Amino acid sequence: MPITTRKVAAVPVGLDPEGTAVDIRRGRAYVACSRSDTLAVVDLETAAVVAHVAVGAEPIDVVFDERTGRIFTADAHADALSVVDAETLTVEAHVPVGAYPSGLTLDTDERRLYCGNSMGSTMSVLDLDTLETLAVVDAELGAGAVALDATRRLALCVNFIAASVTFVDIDTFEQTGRIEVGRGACAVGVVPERGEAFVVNSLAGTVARIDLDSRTVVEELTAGSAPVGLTIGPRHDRVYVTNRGDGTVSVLSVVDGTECGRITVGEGPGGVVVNPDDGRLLVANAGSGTLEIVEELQGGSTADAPTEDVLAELVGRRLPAFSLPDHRTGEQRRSLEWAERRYILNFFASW
Amino acid sequence: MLISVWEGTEARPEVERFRELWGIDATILLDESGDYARQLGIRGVPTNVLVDADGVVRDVGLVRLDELHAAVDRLTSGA
Repeated sequence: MPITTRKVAAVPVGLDPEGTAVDIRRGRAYVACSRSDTLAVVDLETAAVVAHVAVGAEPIDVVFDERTGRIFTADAHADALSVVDAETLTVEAHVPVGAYPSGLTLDTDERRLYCGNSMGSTMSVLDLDTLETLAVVDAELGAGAVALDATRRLALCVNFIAASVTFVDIDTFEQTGRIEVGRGACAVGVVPERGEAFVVNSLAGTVARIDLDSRTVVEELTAGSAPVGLTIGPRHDRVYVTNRGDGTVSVLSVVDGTECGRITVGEGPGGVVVNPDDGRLLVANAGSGTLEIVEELQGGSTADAPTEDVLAELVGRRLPAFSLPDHRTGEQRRSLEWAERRYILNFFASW
Repeated sequence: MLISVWEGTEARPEVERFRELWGIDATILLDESGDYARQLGIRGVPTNVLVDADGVVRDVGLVRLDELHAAVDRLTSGA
């Protein structure tokens, strides 16, 4: 089915926004603005910046830990991570890592943070709660983006200059292998149930599909011009690839790799995530200096009447977020209030 | 938990009358423009949408009481 989307908002956030993370409970996105040396805090309901937090020099990536309420930025020119309290929006600490940290990922089950250090050619592993460095693993030049496969107990560290992927055992922190991928490898996502990883090769203009059991590249997929960012959709059926060269996002099928849609966004898109709360795509447009919020429409544009199939297709998918007035108080009530609860939405009318 | 979404204009007094008549204690939200109902693909009322603790829709429709009871049993048992 062709994809139809609408732009919800393009929020000016700062200079050269790159990494983006979502805080479901607070209804916010956090955006690392690399040339502003700031973390932009965006309220996703109002689509407005509510704060800019000064972090270290050139923050490239950002992650958010729900349990501690901490936001982490990889400050590339500071060779450190900034740790920001999400409640007070103040910097709690700066944690030294390797040279030019550029990629972050969290393992919230094992309580670890992984950081690719591009000029250090290493991957740092930190305890998410104590911020202690647990290991520094050798990778290769340009080590940056990291993804995890908890099933296979693997971390994959993508090395931009070396055009390779380093495999690391996440129990022993030992290197267990490497493979070559395309030139400019810079983003990665894992689909553990398929035993596959997808790596964006920005200079080659391709996306490599890797079989994680044989550790081989089994297919090269095409996206748009100069692909640089990637995220796996929450249902693990899609790969979203940002194309810096033409201001678009390619939507690729995980199953057969075909491009099932292409979404026009702002200039120079890079970091991309799917908001797990409402399924909206959040794209950091480095060229435009914006965070773009994109909503996928069911079966057509807002002008079209949805069909009965649309309702049936909802089963198994996240309920689209709502914000509706309470009939008693007039106060806006959001679906977030019922997060982690089971409930029935009963639609009825007066006629 | 039940959330009733009321579709139609000038809803508030009608909703209040309905609520009193049926003794409804549950949260009632207003979708006066019908935009949210349309977004979900709802074409007629009443329609029920059951949501699990992960925010995933588990069942839709369920106009008959026996269907609704069975679906709620499934939802609460985690099946």
